Amino acid sequence: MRSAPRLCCAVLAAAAGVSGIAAVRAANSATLTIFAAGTLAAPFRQMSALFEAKYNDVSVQAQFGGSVKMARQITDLHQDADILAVADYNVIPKYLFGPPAYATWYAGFARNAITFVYTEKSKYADEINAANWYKVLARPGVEIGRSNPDTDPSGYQTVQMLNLAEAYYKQPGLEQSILANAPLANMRDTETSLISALQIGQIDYLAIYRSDALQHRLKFIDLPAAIDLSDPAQAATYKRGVAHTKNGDLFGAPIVYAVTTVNGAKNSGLAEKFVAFLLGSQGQTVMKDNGFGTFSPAYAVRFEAMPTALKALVTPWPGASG
Amino acid sequence: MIRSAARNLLWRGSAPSRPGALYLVCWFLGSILIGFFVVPLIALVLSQTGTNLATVAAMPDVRASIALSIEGAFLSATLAAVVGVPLAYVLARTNFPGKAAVTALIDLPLAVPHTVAGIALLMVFGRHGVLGEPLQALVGLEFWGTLAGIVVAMMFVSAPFTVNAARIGFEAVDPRLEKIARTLGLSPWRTFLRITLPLARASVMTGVTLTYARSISEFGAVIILVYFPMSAPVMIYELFLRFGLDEAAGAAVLLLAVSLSLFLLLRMLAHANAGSREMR
Repeated sequence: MRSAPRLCCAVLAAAAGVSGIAAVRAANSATLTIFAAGTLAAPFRQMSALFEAKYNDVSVQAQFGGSVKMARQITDLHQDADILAVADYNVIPKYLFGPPAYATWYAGFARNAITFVYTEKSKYADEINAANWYKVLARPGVEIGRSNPDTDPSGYQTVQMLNLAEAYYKQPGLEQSILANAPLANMRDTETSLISALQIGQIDYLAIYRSDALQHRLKFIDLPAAIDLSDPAQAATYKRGVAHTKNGDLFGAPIVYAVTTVNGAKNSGLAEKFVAFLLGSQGQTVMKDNGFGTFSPAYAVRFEAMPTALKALVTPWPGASG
Repeated sequence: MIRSAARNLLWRGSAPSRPGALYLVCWFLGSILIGFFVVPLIALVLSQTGTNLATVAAMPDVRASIALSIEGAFLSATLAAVVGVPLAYVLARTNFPGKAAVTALIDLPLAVPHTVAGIALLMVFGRHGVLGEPLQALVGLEFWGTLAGIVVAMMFVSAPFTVNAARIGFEAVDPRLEKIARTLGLSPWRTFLRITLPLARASVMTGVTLTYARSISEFGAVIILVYFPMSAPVMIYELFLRFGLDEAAGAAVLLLAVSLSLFLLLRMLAHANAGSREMR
């Protein structure tokens, strides 16, 4: 039919026109860019939707990945981000305080616990519990997945937790016997990549955060607070757990998610508003609903360097040297 | 004199004796594409200092990962050739119901996002997979965290190149030549091996080279199945996480240097003796 090509052209032109208008409209609104740890994906997506509803003409683009990778995207690849949120608060001073200084403060806004998740397909799923977990995980034939301690916080936090468990349960060799079931073949750069392997049944247990267990509706083991790095009040106990990595010996610390705004970012005013939203009651409710522990108020390091609007929402980190 | 020298350089072969506008336009547009490829690669190479490259080259992990990638890509390309070239021959010479679907199916792996391809392969070749479980029980072959897993992931995303290029090569071989060979007494096997395949050799080698190249660079599908032992792309990624851009780029430049030498070698093999192929 002769008219068909012309009809196609007309349709394409119209589509181009409409998308062009949409592009112009999108360009007029501000885009907030957030880099965040993989385990923050679910709560941050919910928060972005609430934030966009609250502030018209704002679109939030969030990218998720390993905390260190996201930090390096800012410092090494010079990618533009307005906000960085990480799973281990140490990542921000270590990579972003510089020189050069990509950030000058950070606030701890959520807590988490390290645990092992599993499915009903997992080996010994019917017998494992909070009292016998360290014996079950050491049994031959059990496949355990974890992330690389050299590149990812949950990787070294898992090793620190096992180190603490050895002392807590008074079982010498506990750490090595469990790690023997988590060989290099079961390791990935970040733990979230292993969730599909767990669901397929390639691994039986995965060392990951409690929030992920709740979000992905996986079973998890309730570990004692004295070893699972969930309680900032037990920081002194946690320091006794050590992980030997290629970056040196890392000592246990409570799992605290931290956030900061990036210096010189395009939308610093908007970024501050988002952090205020995150630290405020609405943000904290979203975190709680996704299985994270919260702080009231959030803890801040380099309190004096924070924007005034945010100072009201935080308190200086107890015991931190800044 | 310069014009005739340039003429000799740029349009030998079947081009007409005087350069027309067509060839000039082709060169102009083509050089845009060459620039598009070459400029980023040169930028990558120039970002490196000699000491940085030496440091990265001295890391045994980095050298091991490049060797592993070369080995995996070689196996992947070989297996792709063993099963892909016969398929290409059948597709070139026969018609059957559903041929269009099969041809489209061959291209499908190229369109699958790499992570998804990796997960699909894990479902099949993993511990409880429909192929993985029996293979592990019967011959002890595992794909999780092994070279076999790397090869499988590489093959899935790169074998279509072998099939497509070989098919086009076989289609270009006049079937009458095969029939002449048969009338002269050659069996179908010898006809294929002595007449058809050598005539299609350049296309087949192009396909195999593309498969090899695509295999060596594959990351997304490989990392689902295999993180340790680290292939070169995974190692580059880990260097980026642990040290930063300089070290990662250094390892990438090393990989590129090795790959470039291998591709030149493969190209030479593809066109070796091409001049002596003329009919006597």
